[in-house]
Amino acid sequence: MSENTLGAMLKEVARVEEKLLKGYQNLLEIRDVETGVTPAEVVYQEDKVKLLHYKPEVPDVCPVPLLVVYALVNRQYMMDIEEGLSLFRKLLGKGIELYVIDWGYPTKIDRYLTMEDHILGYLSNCVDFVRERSGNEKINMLGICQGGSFSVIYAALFPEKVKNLAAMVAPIDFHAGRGKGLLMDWIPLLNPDLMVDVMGNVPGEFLNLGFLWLKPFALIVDKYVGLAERLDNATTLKSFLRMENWIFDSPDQAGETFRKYVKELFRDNQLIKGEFTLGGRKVDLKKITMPVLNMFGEQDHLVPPECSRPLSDLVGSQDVTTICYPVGHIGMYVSSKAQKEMAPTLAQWLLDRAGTESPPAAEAPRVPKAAAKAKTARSQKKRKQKK
Amino acid sequence: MAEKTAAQMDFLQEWVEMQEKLWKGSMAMGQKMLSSTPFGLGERGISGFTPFDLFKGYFDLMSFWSKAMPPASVPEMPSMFPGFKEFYDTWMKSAGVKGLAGPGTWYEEFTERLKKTFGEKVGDGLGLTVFKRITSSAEIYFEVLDFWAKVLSASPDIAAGKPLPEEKVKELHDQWMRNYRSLMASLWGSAPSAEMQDLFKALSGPPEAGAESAWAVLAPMVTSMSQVPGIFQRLVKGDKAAAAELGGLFAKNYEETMGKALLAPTIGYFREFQEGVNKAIYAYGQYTNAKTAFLAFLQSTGIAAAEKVFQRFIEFKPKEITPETYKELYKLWCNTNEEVYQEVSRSQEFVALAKRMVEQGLVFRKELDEMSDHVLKFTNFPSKKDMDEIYLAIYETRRDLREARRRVTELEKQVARQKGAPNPSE
Repeated sequence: MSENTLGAMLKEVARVEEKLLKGYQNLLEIRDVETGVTPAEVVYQEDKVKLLHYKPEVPDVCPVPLLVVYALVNRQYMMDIEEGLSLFRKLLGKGIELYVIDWGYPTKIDRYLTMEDHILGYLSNCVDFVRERSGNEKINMLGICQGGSFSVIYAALFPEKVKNLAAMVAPIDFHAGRGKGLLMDWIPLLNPDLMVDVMGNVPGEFLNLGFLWLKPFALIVDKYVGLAERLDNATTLKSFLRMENWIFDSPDQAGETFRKYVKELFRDNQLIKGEFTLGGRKVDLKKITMPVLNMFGEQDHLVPPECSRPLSDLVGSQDVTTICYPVGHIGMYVSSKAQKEMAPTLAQWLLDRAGTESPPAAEAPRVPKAAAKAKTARSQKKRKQKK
Repeated sequence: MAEKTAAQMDFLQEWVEMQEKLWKGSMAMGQKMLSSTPFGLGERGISGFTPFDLFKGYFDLMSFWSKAMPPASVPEMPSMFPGFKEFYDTWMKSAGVKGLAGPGTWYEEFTERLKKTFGEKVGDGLGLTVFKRITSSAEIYFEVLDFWAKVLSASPDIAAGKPLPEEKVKELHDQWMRNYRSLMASLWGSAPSAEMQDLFKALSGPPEAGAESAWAVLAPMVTSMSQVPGIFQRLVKGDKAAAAELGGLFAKNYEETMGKALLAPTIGYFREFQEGVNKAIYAYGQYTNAKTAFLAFLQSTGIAAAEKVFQRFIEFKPKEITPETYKELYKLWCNTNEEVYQEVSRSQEFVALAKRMVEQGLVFRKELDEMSDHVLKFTNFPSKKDMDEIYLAIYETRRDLREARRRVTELEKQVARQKGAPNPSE
């Protein structure tokens, strides 16, 4: 070892020490971080579910509001996590009026809440509230992840209430991702009956453990080792903490909803087989005839693109746009690529379809060039009869 | 003794400045921590606490370094220290410092003290939570660095980037596997797990006490335990089949001995309760078996990963050891393990073991709930079953109420429409 190397090593140790010390100081000063940076008003509440309203601050507002339906797993404020990384802020800036469902935190008393209660109850009531409040017969919907599955099911049952349906990283074909995403392999093997009968609600911590195990060394060790390098930067640190807060902010899953979701969708894949029923009604995806925007991440390890892509072919709509972004699951919400490309694309897609009942015939959606360049696989579905 | 060169002087000067900066930083932080303590130190019953206590380990280290840094000793160092670890060890010896075995150890002591103090004084908060996660991960990080230090110090040829002769590779490999086991133990817990060791003690207790009857029940199990050392030997070589065998062996022996006893019918006034207790203990035994098999599988996967890291390490030829080398080696370790564990996570064996562990844990909890339900039925306290019935009643009431509201709203709308509609009689 040369003298210089020895010196470099000593300096490295001291440098790390210094960073850690500075980091401790920074961390000590942070008791909590604010989440959800855009002001919102609670306009409707039912049990633990709240409907948040975000008003655009631009003169030209899309006449049809957008209802955002997030997953029951984790929390909706990921879409509004911080200034500069807020999908909500971007959409509001484009004149899209937003209503967002906050599902809340289920407690033991909610263990019997079913998928029917969530979709035919809370979600349906939120839709009706927004319809009435905005004076629209039909409103726009954006379903994200599990909320995407919920929105697709709702739109199939009540197509007369949905003007345009956007799905983001929504699992639809639950078997197509097998061998591609570990969650898709593991969840069907769970014994949901035993879990729900014993635990009531399925603890968020249990699900988190599963998420961490998807990349144990990266998520349990390397992430924090890497952070040590950035501890002395208070801004970076706060961004990290916001994300960290979100990752571990996992509500428990209402037992009966979890049971049906795992058994009938993850295990039996009933939705794409046309066998899924809700409240005694069969869910037929062909009844989704409104315009559909299907967005997913090429590198998504939670909901692999193979799970989301089939939606485009299963719906009965004449106007289907499919966009695959070169990002992962979380990247869909917060990556700079998503912020630059996905939000404007979604806003424009909605604006293009805001006025008329029929979609702009055979007109390709206006997608920023960068989105088209960056390994996107898009299809403008044109039915033969349309041609 | 060689004279100090200008470069050495610069380095020393820089070093002293750095220490001074660190010292001041530590003091400032200590003061901040004291002032942020909500109740004051005295009221918390910690007498004589000063920031120096908090940073004692750190100052000890600084003191050691200052002793170990006589300028004149610097020129000898390059020839004396082929690896980082050795460099540390020798310095520590020369400074007469005991108990600090390497970067991992001093770091652990340093952070442990900080963690403890932060936890006691500051109270919970996101910053503290993340700080704890960082220190836990950093401990693993430094374990890895220690490991590489041991490996690099094993042969100066590696550090020099020279090709190794075959016998040296074998020697290194053996040493590697020994060191790697202790590294993996820090991650997944050593095999057998602490719970398993407790179970061994609990099960082997009665025969040791000379109870003939207990021995008759436990004998087959204890006899079979003689197979365990052989299985462990295979386990540490990365034989995954051994993990499954180990789990199976425990389960088989347990069911044939203690399990049988626990599942035997009982009689008497407390029969129902006793059976509940027996079932719960039995379920715990099954859960422990499943957990041990799962952890053993993780251990053997770690050993398999070690082989892969070793292969990649042999191809890794740094020109000289620098801090960057350690970072690269850490990345090599991290990425290779991630790769191996991800592959294993897809295997049917992993899924089966994880599934069994989760399900046995749930069965254990179910038996416990049933046992406590049985006890609580003699009291005025509601049992879990009672509470579930209450939750169900509340749920059904809420659902009925929601439906009633919906119907009322519909009727109101109908009435409004009828009121607004033109009267056909007019």
